[in-house]
Amino acid sequence: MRETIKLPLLEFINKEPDLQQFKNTEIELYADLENWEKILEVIESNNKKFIIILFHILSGNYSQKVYGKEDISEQASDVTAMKFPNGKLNGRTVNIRIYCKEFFKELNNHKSKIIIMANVIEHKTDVDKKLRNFINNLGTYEYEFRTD
Amino acid sequence: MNTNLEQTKKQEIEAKFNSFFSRLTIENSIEFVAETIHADFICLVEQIMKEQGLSYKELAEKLGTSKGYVSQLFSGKKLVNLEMIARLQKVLDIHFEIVPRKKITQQVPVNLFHSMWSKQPNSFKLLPSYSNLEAVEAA
Repeated sequence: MRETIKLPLLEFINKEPDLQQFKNTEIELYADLENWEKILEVIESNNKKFIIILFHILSGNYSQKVYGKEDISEQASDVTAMKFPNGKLNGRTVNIRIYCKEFFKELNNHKSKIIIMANVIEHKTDVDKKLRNFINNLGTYEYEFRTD
Repeated sequence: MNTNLEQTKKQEIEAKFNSFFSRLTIENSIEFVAETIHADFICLVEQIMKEQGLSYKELAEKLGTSKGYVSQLFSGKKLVNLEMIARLQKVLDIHFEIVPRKKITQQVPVNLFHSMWSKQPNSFKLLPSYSNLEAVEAA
Protein backbone atom coordinates (compact mmCIF):
# COMPACT_ATOMS: atom_id res chain seq x y z
CA MET A 1 0.00 0.00 0.00
CA ARG A 2 1.32 3.43 -0.96
CA GLU A 3 0.82 6.56 1.10
CA THR A 4 -0.27 10.02 0.03
CA ILE A 5 -0.30 13.61 1.16
CA LYS A 6 -3.43 15.68 0.78
CA LEU A 7 -2.76 18.96 -1.01
CA PRO A 8 -4.52 22.23 -0.08
CA LEU A 9 -6.59 22.54 -3.26
CA LEU A 10 -9.60 24.09 -1.54
CA GLU A 11 -7.43 26.67 0.24
CA PHE A 12 -5.96 27.63 -3.12
CA ILE A 13 -9.43 27.97 -4.68
CA ASN A 14 -10.64 30.08 -1.76
CA LYS A 15 -7.86 32.65 -2.15
CA GLU A 16 -8.27 33.07 -5.92
CA PRO A 17 -11.19 35.29 -7.06
CA ASP A 18 -11.12 33.68 -10.53
CA LEU A 19 -11.76 30.22 -9.08
CA GLN A 20 -14.77 31.01 -6.89
CA GLN A 21 -17.05 28.97 -9.14
CA PHE A 22 -15.26 25.90 -7.71
CA LYS A 23 -15.49 26.78 -4.00
CA ASN A 24 -17.90 23.86 -3.41
CA THR A 25 -15.77 21.38 -5.32
CA GLU A 26 -15.84 17.76 -4.27
CA ILE A 27 -12.50 17.06 -5.88
CA GLU A 28 -9.52 16.25 -3.67
CA LEU A 29 -5.90 16.35 -4.80
CA TYR A 30 -3.11 14.19 -3.35
CA ALA A 31 0.56 13.47 -4.04
CA ASP A 32 2.31 10.12 -3.79
CA LEU A 33 4.55 10.17 -0.73
CA GLU A 34 7.33 8.23 -2.42
CA ASN A 35 7.55 10.54 -5.47
CA TRP A 36 6.75 13.85 -3.78
CA GLU A 37 10.07 15.55 -4.63
CA LYS A 38 9.75 15.02 -8.40
CA ILE A 39 6.08 16.07 -8.32
CA LEU A 40 6.75 19.25 -6.34
CA GLU A 41 9.68 20.14 -8.60
CA VAL A 42 7.50 19.87 -11.73
CA ILE A 43 4.59 21.91 -10.40
CA GLU A 44 6.93 24.56 -8.97
CA SER A 45 8.83 24.91 -12.25
CA ASN A 46 5.65 24.98 -14.34
CA ASN A 47 3.22 26.71 -12.00
CA LYS A 48 1.32 28.69 -14.63
CA LYS A 49 0.55 25.58 -16.66
CA PHE A 50 -0.28 23.73 -13.45
CA ILE A 51 -3.03 26.26 -12.66
CA ILE A 52 -4.56 25.71 -16.12
CA ILE A 53 -4.45 21.95 -15.55
CA LEU A 54 -6.18 22.46 -12.19
CA PHE A 55 -8.86 24.47 -13.99
CA HIS A 56 -9.42 21.54 -16.40
CA ILE A 57 -9.67 19.12 -13.49
CA LEU A 58 -12.06 21.31 -11.51
CA SER A 59 -14.22 21.83 -14.63
CA GLY A 60 -14.45 18.09 -15.26
CA ASN A 61 -12.71 18.56 -18.60
CA TYR A 62 -10.66 15.77 -20.16
CA SER A 63 -8.45 16.41 -23.14
CA GLN A 64 -5.60 14.64 -24.87
CA LYS A 65 -3.25 17.60 -24.70
CA VAL A 66 -3.76 18.98 -21.19
CA TYR A 67 -5.27 16.49 -18.76
CA GLY A 68 -6.72 13.20 -19.86
CA LYS A 69 -6.90 9.47 -19.75
CA GLU A 70 -4.35 7.38 -21.58
CA ASP A 71 -6.74 4.49 -22.19
CA ILE A 72 -3.98 2.06 -23.13
CA SER A 73 -5.31 -0.95 -21.21
CA GLU A 74 -7.95 -2.14 -18.78
CA GLN A 75 -5.26 -2.28 -16.07
CA ALA A 76 -4.57 1.44 -16.49
CA SER A 77 -8.19 2.55 -16.85
CA ASP A 78 -7.92 4.87 -13.83
CA VAL A 79 -4.62 6.43 -14.95
CA THR A 80 -4.64 10.02 -16.19
CA ALA A 81 -1.89 12.42 -17.19
CA MET A 82 -1.19 16.09 -16.52
CA LYS A 83 0.73 17.24 -19.58
CA PHE A 84 3.43 19.90 -19.61
CA PRO A 85 4.63 20.22 -23.22
CA ASN A 86 7.81 22.32 -23.38
CA GLY A 87 7.92 22.18 -19.61
CA LYS A 88 10.82 23.40 -17.51
CA LEU A 89 12.83 20.97 -15.41
CA ASN A 90 16.33 21.57 -13.99
CA GLY A 91 16.88 24.39 -16.47
CA ARG A 92 15.98 22.17 -19.43
CA THR A 93 12.94 22.35 -21.71
CA VAL A 94 11.29 18.93 -21.88
CA ASN A 95 7.89 17.37 -22.31
CA ILE A 96 6.88 16.30 -18.83
CA ARG A 97 3.91 14.37 -17.60
CA ILE A 98 2.64 13.84 -14.11
CA TYR A 99 0.75 10.58 -14.17
CA CYS A 100 -2.20 10.37 -11.81
CA LYS A 101 -4.68 7.86 -10.46
CA GLU A 102 -8.29 8.96 -10.45
CA PHE A 103 -11.14 7.37 -8.54
CA PHE A 104 -14.07 8.06 -6.22
CA LYS A 105 -14.43 7.94 -2.48
CA GLU A 106 -17.81 7.57 -0.85
CA LEU A 107 -18.21 8.15 2.85
CA ASN A 108 -21.53 8.71 4.66
CA ASN A 109 -23.29 9.35 1.33
CA HIS A 110 -20.69 11.97 0.47
CA LYS A 111 -18.97 11.28 -2.81
CA SER A 112 -15.59 12.79 -3.67
CA LYS A 113 -13.41 12.52 -6.72
CA ILE A 114 -9.84 11.69 -5.74
CA ILE A 115 -6.88 12.56 -7.93
CA ILE A 116 -3.47 11.32 -6.82
CA MET A 117 -0.41 12.71 -8.58
CA ALA A 118 1.53 9.47 -8.60
CA ASN A 119 4.72 9.77 -10.64
CA VAL A 120 6.61 11.92 -13.14
CA ILE A 121 8.09 10.98 -16.49
CA GLU A 122 9.80 12.86 -19.28
CA HIS A 123 7.80 12.17 -22.41
CA LYS A 124 9.65 11.77 -25.70
CA THR A 125 7.47 10.12 -28.31
CA ASP A 126 4.05 8.58 -28.56
CA VAL A 127 3.16 5.76 -26.21
CA ASP A 128 6.18 3.44 -26.66
CA LYS A 129 6.87 0.19 -24.83
CA LYS A 130 8.69 1.90 -21.93
CA LEU A 131 5.87 4.39 -21.38
CA ARG A 132 3.24 1.66 -21.78
CA ASN A 133 4.97 -0.35 -19.02
CA PHE A 134 5.23 2.76 -16.86
CA ILE A 135 1.50 3.49 -17.24
CA ASN A 136 0.48 -0.12 -16.67
CA ASN A 137 2.65 -0.22 -13.56
CA LEU A 138 0.84 2.87 -12.25
CA GLY A 139 -2.40 1.00 -12.80
CA THR A 140 -1.28 -1.48 -10.13
CA TYR A 141 -0.58 1.20 -7.48
CA GLU A 142 -2.85 0.86 -4.47
CA TYR A 143 -3.22 3.66 -1.96
CA GLU A 144 -4.05 3.80 1.68
CA PHE A 145 -6.49 6.49 2.86
CA ARG A 146 -7.31 7.55 6.34
CA THR A 147 -10.76 8.93 7.07
CA ASP A 148 -9.55 11.61 9.53
CA MET B 1 12.20 4.32 10.48
CA ASN B 2 9.89 4.46 13.50
CA THR B 3 6.37 5.83 13.32
CA ASN B 4 7.19 9.17 14.97
CA LEU B 5 10.01 9.85 12.54
CA GLU B 6 7.78 8.91 9.60
CA GLN B 7 5.09 11.25 10.90
CA THR B 8 7.60 14.11 11.30
CA LYS B 9 8.93 13.53 7.79
CA LYS B 10 5.39 13.50 6.39
CA GLN B 11 4.59 16.77 8.15
CA GLU B 12 7.72 18.35 6.67
CA ILE B 13 6.66 17.29 3.17
CA GLU B 14 3.13 18.57 3.79
CA ALA B 15 4.59 21.92 4.87
CA LYS B 16 6.56 22.14 1.60
CA PHE B 17 3.43 21.55 -0.50
CA ASN B 18 1.43 23.97 1.66
CA SER B 19 4.13 26.59 1.16
CA PHE B 20 4.02 26.06 -2.61
CA PHE B 21 0.21 26.36 -2.76
CA SER B 22 0.25 29.48 -0.60
CA ARG B 23 2.70 31.07 -3.09
CA LEU B 24 0.81 29.76 -6.14
CA THR B 25 -1.20 32.60 -7.62
CA ILE B 26 -2.98 33.65 -10.79
CA GLU B 27 -0.77 36.53 -11.85
CA ASN B 28 -2.80 37.89 -14.75
CA SER B 29 -6.53 37.49 -14.24
CA ILE B 30 -7.59 38.51 -17.76
CA GLU B 31 -5.04 36.19 -19.38
CA PHE B 32 -6.12 33.34 -17.10
CA VAL B 33 -9.83 33.81 -17.80
CA ALA B 34 -9.10 33.93 -21.56
CA GLU B 35 -7.18 30.66 -21.22
CA THR B 36 -10.02 29.02 -19.30
CA ILE B 37 -12.62 30.08 -21.89
CA HIS B 38 -10.31 28.61 -24.52
CA ALA B 39 -9.87 25.42 -22.45
CA ASP B 40 -13.62 24.89 -22.12
CA PHE B 41 -14.16 25.54 -25.82
CA ILE B 42 -11.33 23.35 -27.04
CA CYS B 43 -12.47 20.44 -24.85
CA LEU B 44 -15.87 20.71 -26.47
CA VAL B 45 -14.23 20.66 -29.92
CA GLU B 46 -12.16 17.61 -28.92
CA GLN B 47 -15.31 15.81 -27.81
CA ILE B 48 -17.00 16.55 -31.14
CA MET B 49 -13.89 15.36 -33.01
CA LYS B 50 -14.01 12.11 -31.02
CA GLU B 51 -17.67 11.62 -31.91
CA GLN B 52 -16.88 12.26 -35.59
CA GLY B 53 -13.75 10.04 -35.51
CA LEU B 54 -11.54 12.94 -36.56
CA SER B 55 -7.78 13.03 -35.80
CA TYR B 56 -5.74 16.21 -35.22
CA LYS B 57 -4.07 15.67 -38.59
CA GLU B 58 -7.42 15.36 -40.39
CA LEU B 59 -8.75 18.44 -38.60
CA ALA B 60 -5.65 20.41 -39.63
CA GLU B 61 -6.18 19.37 -43.27
CA LYS B 62 -9.86 20.38 -43.17
CA LEU B 63 -8.98 23.73 -41.57
CA GLY B 64 -6.17 24.32 -44.06
CA THR B 65 -3.62 24.77 -41.26
CA SER B 66 -0.62 22.79 -40.06
CA LYS B 67 -0.82 19.93 -37.57
CA GLY B 68 1.59 21.92 -35.38
CA TYR B 69 -0.81 24.86 -35.20
CA VAL B 70 -3.72 22.55 -34.29
CA SER B 71 -1.52 20.94 -31.64
CA GLN B 72 -0.75 24.37 -30.17
CA LEU B 73 -4.46 25.21 -30.11
CA PHE B 74 -5.30 22.01 -28.24
CA SER B 75 -2.44 22.34 -25.75
CA GLY B 76 -3.47 25.96 -25.05
CA LYS B 77 -0.25 27.47 -26.34
CA LYS B 78 -2.26 29.44 -28.89
CA LEU B 79 -5.74 30.74 -28.12
CA VAL B 80 -8.61 30.35 -30.53
CA ASN B 81 -9.90 33.50 -32.27
CA LEU B 82 -13.29 34.24 -33.80
CA GLU B 83 -12.13 33.40 -37.32
CA MET B 84 -10.95 29.98 -36.14
CA ILE B 85 -14.27 29.41 -34.34
CA ALA B 86 -16.04 30.18 -37.62
CA ARG B 87 -13.77 27.73 -39.47
CA LEU B 88 -14.29 25.02 -36.85
CA GLN B 89 -18.03 25.56 -37.02
CA LYS B 90 -17.89 25.00 -40.75
CA VAL B 91 -15.62 21.93 -40.85
CA LEU B 92 -17.30 20.22 -37.88
CA ASP B 93 -20.76 21.08 -39.21
CA ILE B 94 -22.08 22.35 -35.88
CA HIS B 95 -23.21 25.67 -34.44
CA PHE B 96 -21.56 27.11 -31.32
CA GLU B 97 -23.52 29.28 -28.90
CA ILE B 98 -22.19 31.42 -26.08
CA VAL B 99 -24.03 30.80 -22.81
CA PRO B 100 -23.21 32.66 -19.57
CA ARG B 101 -21.66 30.19 -17.09
CA LYS B 102 -23.29 31.79 -14.03
CA LYS B 103 -26.76 31.28 -15.42
CA ILE B 104 -26.34 27.55 -15.93
CA THR B 105 -23.99 26.33 -13.21
CA GLN B 106 -26.24 27.31 -10.32
CA GLN B 107 -28.96 24.86 -11.35
CA VAL B 108 -27.10 21.59 -11.79
CA PRO B 109 -28.72 18.82 -9.72
CA VAL B 110 -26.26 17.01 -7.48
CA ASN B 111 -27.05 13.60 -9.01
CA LEU B 112 -26.28 14.93 -12.49
CA PHE B 113 -23.03 16.47 -11.22
CA HIS B 114 -22.03 13.08 -9.83
CA SER B 115 -23.04 11.28 -13.00
CA MET B 116 -20.59 13.47 -14.91
CA TRP B 117 -17.83 11.85 -12.86
CA SER B 118 -18.88 8.36 -13.73
CA LYS B 119 -16.35 6.17 -15.47
CA GLN B 120 -18.99 4.92 -17.88
CA PRO B 121 -17.86 5.88 -21.40
CA ASN B 122 -21.20 7.49 -22.24
CA SER B 123 -20.88 10.03 -19.47
CA PHE B 124 -17.77 11.46 -21.09
CA LYS B 125 -19.94 12.61 -23.96
CA LEU B 126 -21.39 15.14 -21.56
CA LEU B 127 -19.35 18.22 -21.05
CA PRO B 128 -20.32 20.52 -18.17
CA SER B 129 -21.90 23.16 -20.35
CA TYR B 130 -23.98 20.56 -22.17
CA SER B 131 -25.08 18.89 -18.97
CA ASN B 132 -25.83 22.13 -17.25
CA LEU B 133 -27.82 23.43 -20.16
CA GLU B 134 -29.87 20.25 -20.31
CA ALA B 135 -30.55 20.55 -16.59
CA VAL B 136 -31.81 24.10 -17.00
CA GLU B 137 -34.01 23.14 -19.91
CA ALA B 138 -35.45 20.23 -17.97
CA ALA B 139 -36.20 22.39 -14.91
